[in-house]
Amino acid sequence: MTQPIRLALPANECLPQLKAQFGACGLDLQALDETVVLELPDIIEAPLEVLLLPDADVGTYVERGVVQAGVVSTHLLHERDFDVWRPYTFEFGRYPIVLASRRGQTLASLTARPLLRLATPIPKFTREWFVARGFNIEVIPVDSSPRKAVILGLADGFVDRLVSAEDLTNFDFHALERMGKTSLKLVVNSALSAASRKAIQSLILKLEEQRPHDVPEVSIPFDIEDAV
Amino acid sequence: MVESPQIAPALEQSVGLRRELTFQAMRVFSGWGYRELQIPLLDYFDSVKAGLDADAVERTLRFVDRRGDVMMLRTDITPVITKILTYQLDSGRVKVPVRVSYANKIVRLDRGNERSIRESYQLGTELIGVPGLTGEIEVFLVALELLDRLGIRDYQFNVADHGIAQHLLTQSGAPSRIRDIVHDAIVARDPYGVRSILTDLGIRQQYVDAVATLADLEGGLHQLQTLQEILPDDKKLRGRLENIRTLFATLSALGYKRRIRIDMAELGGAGYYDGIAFNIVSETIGRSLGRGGRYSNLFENFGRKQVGIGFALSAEAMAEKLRPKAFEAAGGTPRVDEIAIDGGDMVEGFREALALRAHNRPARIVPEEK
Repeated sequence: MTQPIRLALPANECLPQLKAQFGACGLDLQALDETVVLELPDIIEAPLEVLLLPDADVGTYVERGVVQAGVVSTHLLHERDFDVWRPYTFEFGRYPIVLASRRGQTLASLTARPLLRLATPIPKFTREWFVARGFNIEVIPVDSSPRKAVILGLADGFVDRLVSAEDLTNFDFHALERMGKTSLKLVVNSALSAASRKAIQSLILKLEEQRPHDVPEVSIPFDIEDAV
Repeated sequence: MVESPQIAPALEQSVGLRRELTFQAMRVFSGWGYRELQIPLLDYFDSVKAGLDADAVERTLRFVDRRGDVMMLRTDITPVITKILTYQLDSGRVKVPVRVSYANKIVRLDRGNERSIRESYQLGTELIGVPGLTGEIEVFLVALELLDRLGIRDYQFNVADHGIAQHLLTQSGAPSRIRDIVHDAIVARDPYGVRSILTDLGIRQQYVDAVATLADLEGGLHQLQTLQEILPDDKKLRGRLENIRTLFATLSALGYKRRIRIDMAELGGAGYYDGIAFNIVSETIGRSLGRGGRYSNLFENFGRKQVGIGFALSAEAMAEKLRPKAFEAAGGTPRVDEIAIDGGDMVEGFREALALRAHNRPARIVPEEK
């Protein structure tokens, strides 16, 4: 009997699209939530168990081999330095990483401050980006909603993935700089047996066949006056 | 306040298991003619750094001693052995082939943000001065015998040739900085990433296909065939492919076919590996048990032309793998006779303890409560 493959999906904004693509591959995940583990015996060459985990934890479970495969964004892979393989890239879940601030501020006005304070859930990336460009900044790590940190006065700006332009415009914020991008990866434990790899490879082939097309890119709300 | 020590002391049970592992390993190593070498815990950083790659340097724990010399704690044993043997070979005190084994702790800084200190106990061998498949197969057989003798059933050697990856990346014409990024994408089994980077650079399609083939998740002998079909006129590649095929055929003929998997993306581990290399993995613990590989240029960093190949197993990973079975075999915690010692007349109690120890029975002294 082949060992079952456990697949962990992240409980984040990409879940509906993940359910749709895996659904097109024959994995009915509509009943999936935090309380259930779905057992799907006949989809790939090994029994498949699908479960939901907090998105920041998926990489840890896969790295330690408790689950054999998972879906993780590249910004988390970079931030946590997970030692996992990443054999498939999803078409959705690609977001720009931006430096943002309240409307009216510019990159020049922010960097003119004696010490620029930036709130971010991705402190390692932020530190590396600014150090590489010779900026002296104070990185303020927050788990989520760095925008709130700016509104409350904890920081002068923030660095985060931009999932939708409205996340900035609805709150009178704007993007100052596109710092990078993040994408969504199927990740795999690095100590898998040949049989498990074969089973996961067959899942990847199904995903490739069902790759969605025309996934729109997020438009970044730079101010027009920034460009002038 | 929550405090946790950076270096956790090994638990009593783990120490016992590690000692047993070391004993078994040294028996196997000496059976193949390997002599145990003691490696210094402290060394001059300047004298070893020539053998360390950038990652190892970054992960080395260094400090300045009272005279102002930069010292380092043992980070990687192979470069230290290489340095020691270079001096010994130069002086004529030893002659190749040299077979050495070791059982030593190493100390490294973690790759993560916290940069915490991580200790690891390593058991390994180095075979110096035996080039080609003869040396490589010997090292595989030593490692295979040890794992089998320890009763580890669920393990697999993922085997690659660093030389093939280096050759293809060089031939592709990709600049050195990009080659490092592509190398990381291959190790991550990310063919999409490999194709995307190389295509953006305008690399010729056959090299994009060849390098992406290395990153195949499934691995297997078919990778070798695919590479040969993509680049049929590349003589150097053909020679290396033939070499790894012969390795696989020989180990298969010796009864280890199901233990060996060709996996051309297995390019992790030490930066000085430049030929056949392997990663020993166990799916049930979800991580590597150890690594090994051929190094042909490491000695040159210390001023001598010589080849070597070695491997090291992580005692912690092996203990994790063996723990349930080991304690089952031991029948749980042994019974220990407790002997109460009266503060007024201690002779009688200690005499009793000595009598137990004379028969090699466990004894534990317990002060008698007043």
